[in-house]
Amino acid sequence: MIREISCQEAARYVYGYLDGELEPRTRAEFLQHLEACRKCLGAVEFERRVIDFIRDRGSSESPSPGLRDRVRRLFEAGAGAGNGGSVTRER
Amino acid sequence: MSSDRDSSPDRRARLREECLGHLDALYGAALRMTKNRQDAEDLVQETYLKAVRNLDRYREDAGCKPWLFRILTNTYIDLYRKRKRRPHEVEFDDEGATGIYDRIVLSFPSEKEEGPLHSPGGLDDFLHRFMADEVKAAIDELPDVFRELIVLRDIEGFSYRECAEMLEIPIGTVMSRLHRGRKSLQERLWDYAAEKGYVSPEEEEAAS
Ligand SMILES: [Zn+2]
Repeated sequence: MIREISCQEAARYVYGYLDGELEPRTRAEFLQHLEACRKCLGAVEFERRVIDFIRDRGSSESPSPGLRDRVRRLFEAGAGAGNGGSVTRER
Repeated sequence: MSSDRDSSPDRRARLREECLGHLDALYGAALRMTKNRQDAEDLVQETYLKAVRNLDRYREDAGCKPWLFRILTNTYIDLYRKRKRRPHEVEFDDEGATGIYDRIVLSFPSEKEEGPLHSPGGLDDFLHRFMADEVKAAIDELPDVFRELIVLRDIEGFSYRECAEMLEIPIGTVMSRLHRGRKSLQERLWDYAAEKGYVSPEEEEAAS
């Protein structure tokens, strides 16, 4: 028997649900509520779409071409670091 | 894994390519965190420098992305955001941060009549008017502690636990900051849309 939860309680689980971070029992309670409550289901779908949208629009930056070269050189310098390359060792 | 501390050239070359594969993601996160291209490049370079120095000690089990992001986040906090105590940080407030769902429903009648699930047009129309630069500007306006979590969770997809470890805060704080950051970001986008005329005055009025 799954406990019934209120819309107010369900609202607190929306992000946890979308982030895949709810405990199994809470998740079951939440999903049972969504089956019966169109309002909360709408809110979940809304939040999901906004998060997807933020991910889509907020990512994808290109560093200057020089950065990749400089980083690559760090690895090459680092390869000789064991016997005193140009990268200062910690410790 | 037995080869964890192996420093053979093969392993180094493989790790180098693996680490370089995350350059754009690290740079994107660094740019959102520092809000400045030069600082972002410096931060990424510093991150890789520390990674190279610690390559022999890196454990491969979890892949190098969380490892690199942990170095990035720590370096960012040390160099660009001095660790501060925030005794007055307001705790999670149900009523304070409501987001814009109700306003969207009111503003786009089709959402109300058919329900948001059955009329993707309303919300999508609203969202798709935003250019990437406008969304990034809205993220950049968020307070540091919210912006960091939008970057680490929403853009980079780290778990609550990973975010908590990187930022050295409790998981409960991750959840409350993420909640408030997301709602606050929605409200900023809404205000921006109203300013730009993406939502008409009637829509704005209906919503207020
Ligand atoms: Zn409900």
